Amino acid sequence: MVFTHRMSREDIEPDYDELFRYAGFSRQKLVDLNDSQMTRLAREAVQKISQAMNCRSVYTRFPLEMMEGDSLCFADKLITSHHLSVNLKGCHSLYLFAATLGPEVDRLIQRESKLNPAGAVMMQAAGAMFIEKYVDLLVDFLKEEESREGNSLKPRYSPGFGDVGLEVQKIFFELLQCQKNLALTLNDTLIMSPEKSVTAFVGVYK
Amino acid sequence: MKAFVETLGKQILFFDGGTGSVLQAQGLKPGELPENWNIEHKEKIVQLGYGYYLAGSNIINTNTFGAFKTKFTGTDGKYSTQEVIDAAFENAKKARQMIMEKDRSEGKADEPRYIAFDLGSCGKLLKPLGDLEFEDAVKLFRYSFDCGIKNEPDLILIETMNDLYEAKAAIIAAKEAMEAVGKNIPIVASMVYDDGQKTLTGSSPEICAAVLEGLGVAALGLNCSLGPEQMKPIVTRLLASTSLPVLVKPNAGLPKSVNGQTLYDVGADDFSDIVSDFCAEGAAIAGGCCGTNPDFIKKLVQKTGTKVQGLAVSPRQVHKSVITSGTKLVEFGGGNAPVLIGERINPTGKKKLKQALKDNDIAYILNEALTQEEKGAQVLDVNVGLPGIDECAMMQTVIKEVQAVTELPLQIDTSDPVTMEKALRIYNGKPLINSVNGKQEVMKQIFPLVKKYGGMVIALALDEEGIPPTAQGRIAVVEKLYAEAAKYGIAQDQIVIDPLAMTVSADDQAAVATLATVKYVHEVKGGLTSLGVSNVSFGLPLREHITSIFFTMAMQNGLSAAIMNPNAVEMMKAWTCFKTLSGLDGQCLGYIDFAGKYEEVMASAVAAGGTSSSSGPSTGTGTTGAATGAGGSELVGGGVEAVLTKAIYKGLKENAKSETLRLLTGGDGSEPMSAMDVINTKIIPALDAIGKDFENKKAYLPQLLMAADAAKEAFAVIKTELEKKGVAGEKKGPIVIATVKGDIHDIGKNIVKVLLENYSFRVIDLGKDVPPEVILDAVIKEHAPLAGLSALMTTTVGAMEETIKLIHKDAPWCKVFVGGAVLNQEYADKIHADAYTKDAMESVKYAQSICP
Repeated sequence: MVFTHRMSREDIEPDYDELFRYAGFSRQKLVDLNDSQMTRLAREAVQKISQAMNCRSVYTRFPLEMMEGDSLCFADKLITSHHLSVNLKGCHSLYLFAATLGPEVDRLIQRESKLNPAGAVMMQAAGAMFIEKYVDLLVDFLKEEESREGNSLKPRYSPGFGDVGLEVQKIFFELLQCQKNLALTLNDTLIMSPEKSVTAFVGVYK
Repeated sequence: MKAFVETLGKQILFFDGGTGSVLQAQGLKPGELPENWNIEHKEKIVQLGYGYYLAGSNIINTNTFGAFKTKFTGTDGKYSTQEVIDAAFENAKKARQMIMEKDRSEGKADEPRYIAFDLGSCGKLLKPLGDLEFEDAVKLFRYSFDCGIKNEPDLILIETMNDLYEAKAAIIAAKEAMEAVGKNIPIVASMVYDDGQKTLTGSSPEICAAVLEGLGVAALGLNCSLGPEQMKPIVTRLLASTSLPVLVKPNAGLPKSVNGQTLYDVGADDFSDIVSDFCAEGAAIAGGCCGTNPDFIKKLVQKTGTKVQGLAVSPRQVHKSVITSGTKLVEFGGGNAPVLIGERINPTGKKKLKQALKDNDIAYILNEALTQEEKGAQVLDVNVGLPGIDECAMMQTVIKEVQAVTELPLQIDTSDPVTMEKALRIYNGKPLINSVNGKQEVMKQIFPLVKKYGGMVIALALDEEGIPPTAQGRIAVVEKLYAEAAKYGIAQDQIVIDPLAMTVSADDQAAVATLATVKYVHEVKGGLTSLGVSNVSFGLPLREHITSIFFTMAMQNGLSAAIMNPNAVEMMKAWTCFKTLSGLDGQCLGYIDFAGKYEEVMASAVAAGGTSSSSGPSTGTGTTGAATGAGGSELVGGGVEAVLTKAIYKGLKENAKSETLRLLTGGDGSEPMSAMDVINTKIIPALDAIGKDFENKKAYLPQLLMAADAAKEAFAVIKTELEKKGVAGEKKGPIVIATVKGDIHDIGKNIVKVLLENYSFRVIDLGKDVPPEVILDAVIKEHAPLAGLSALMTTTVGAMEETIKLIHKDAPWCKVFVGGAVLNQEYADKIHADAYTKDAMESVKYAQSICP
């Protein structure tokens, strides 16, 4: 069974440090970042992205079987990955989720990139910051659900990291029916549209 | 049994309920394709359909929601699309045979029992948000419809659509599949809305209704995602925006986890209570989606029977003259203020736009679009007809690009029917079609397009005899246009008459005839009118005076729309004041807002007029002061000379503009500088300084880009000044740039483009996801000395390699530089690139080394 999670945009606080980091500003520079122009550009980006975003996600949970040779089995699927096996060590179940800020954000960034490339860079960064924030809040929510059953959660792990290839995205899309439930689609090159989207595994352990 | 079209909209018809959720309860595994069960568990699928019929469903779906050739390839042990669709029909027909036998035995032989050929989304997002071309989506749907239509369904259901643009592709595919075999099967289209009462791609119920009705569906509605309670306001809105029968298929609420068990949170009783109310309110087809089962339908049928006498659908008449984009709707007439249609994207009499079209300078066109939007245009006219360019290809490019950046609906303006049809297909929404006229031949070409693709149409009051000089003559043409359109099933409320504004300097009675026609159409016919108002003043001095008063008079006579220049202050003034004085401006807020801006516009016009005063318009000292603040670079000296350099370094566009002008004209009494000196001693040092700081991580990408933007403004001023003196600016290059095939990331490429242009290179930007052959063609055509390729993903480096190979083989004079997140020097060497540039500044340096 696939569940839906939504969050209103007002409930996600912007994090400007993160935003500047995604925009390529170095930590050191940030401390004495005293450029009102950049700050204004960042604020505008946050405001516009925040208006445009529609934070939603779908998730599902399966029993997990860890096998010899770094193999993981759930929902009749088999994944072999050393890194993911390490991440999920000791887990009895597994969440899969897909979260997105929705197509409006992409549209906004595409539009901005044609007119004001500097603004587009900030918007990219704001989008990245907001989707990460949203996903953190989603995982917090799952954590709370699980804690009632006495379970804990491992840190989330997304396809494309370590030895988990983007091919694994297909499993997410199949099991979560992302297209139908979120209007989230997978391109031929295994990249998601809308772009500001995240899929990840979250392990559940006692 | 009566045919579906005979019962639709007359009696309430009941659809089936959930499929996937029921099959899961019977053992369908997560991720398993339900369509496989058509072959592997035939009996279960037959029983599912029969169960719904038994519960009272008049229509059941074939189990073909995801039957696309992308999944059912017929290879690698997979079934073919035709196989699963044929099996689905076989099962549905068997269920129908069983129920009809039972119906007959109970004396209910007339009971409607239909089979709908069901298709959902093709699973991909269309461009520009996704990677699927509109026409490829049409092809994908077409294949499935070809397979389905052979089996003779009673209706087609296109459902669970998140994206109206995809729904349009599906409907066109269904219509064309039927055309090919001479069939006419009714299409029902159903969208998914979220709790914000919009589709996930941002279309409101009113927009969906307008677009779907325009495309000629038999019924439209909504399903999935929401429970019945949350659907209430959307159902009401849909019923108020279309005369077509409305379909409602809610979920059984949302899935919840209760004591370790997962269930949907709305039971059959509550579900049927609310959904039967929808039927009483006017819904013509009702059923269920995820989480519902035959029990839900049974209760729904019973309750509706008690609430609605004889299950009659309550009749509604809704007349709406609307056009839309994917996300915005504009209504004509009906107490709305005249609609402003921006005329700036039409090359007639516009030198710069002509040049932009010749140079394939899409950015210029997009800028025109957004400026007009900002100034208050509500619709944008798009006309790209120009001798020497391929109008059809350019029209498609411009429509795609413009609709990706503006929310405004478009008026597609071409006299070529082939171009018109191509544009109507790919347009995302219900457009305004410009135009048809009273000539038989033209009506024969245009009205069928209006009918097939939907849209309102501008109809010019002229025919084979030319433009009638009198109002009477034009009214006769109007009558002919209305009558002929009716033959195609196009209602008068979808037609906007253009009574033709003629030049008053050529005929002093011209305006009188036009205004009389506007009045007649408005008052006697209750019809809509639009005028290209500015024609009226052609050949006269101070044209805006005549044009704006003519516009006011036309509005007073009932004009519904005007094609005009939203940058013209007098026109906006006439429109705003007319609204205020006609009771269309609550508390005069629109006027007050306009007046505030008007003072600003006037003030800056005065300031700009007096260039000799000081350092230029209002943006002067304050911001320039700020510019001297931070900035980690060694800028040339202090004092006035450095102002431009600093303005550019700090990305202050207005200052850069005014300073450039001051330097060139010697505004403050100093010696005017030559353009070359301004470029070499002021602009280039600023760009070099910010570029260097960027490399040393003292400045960051947004700052680099803002500086580039400011430099662009400075260059624009120089260009205009040079043109005044009759000197054409020399450009280097050209450089062809593109993001390679398969890759849709173009931000990096756009940055490179901006910077190259700043350093006086002519850049031919081919966009993103560009096939190798297309890049090669451009290189050869322009004999470009240099091509830049960008790729963000490892998966598309292959395409990059292929492109390089092709260029080196067939255009050996051309050097290729590459960049993008996945590349490094080593990788670039491996794919035989001539250079790897790690960022935009490096690209500039490399380009300068090749084309000094």
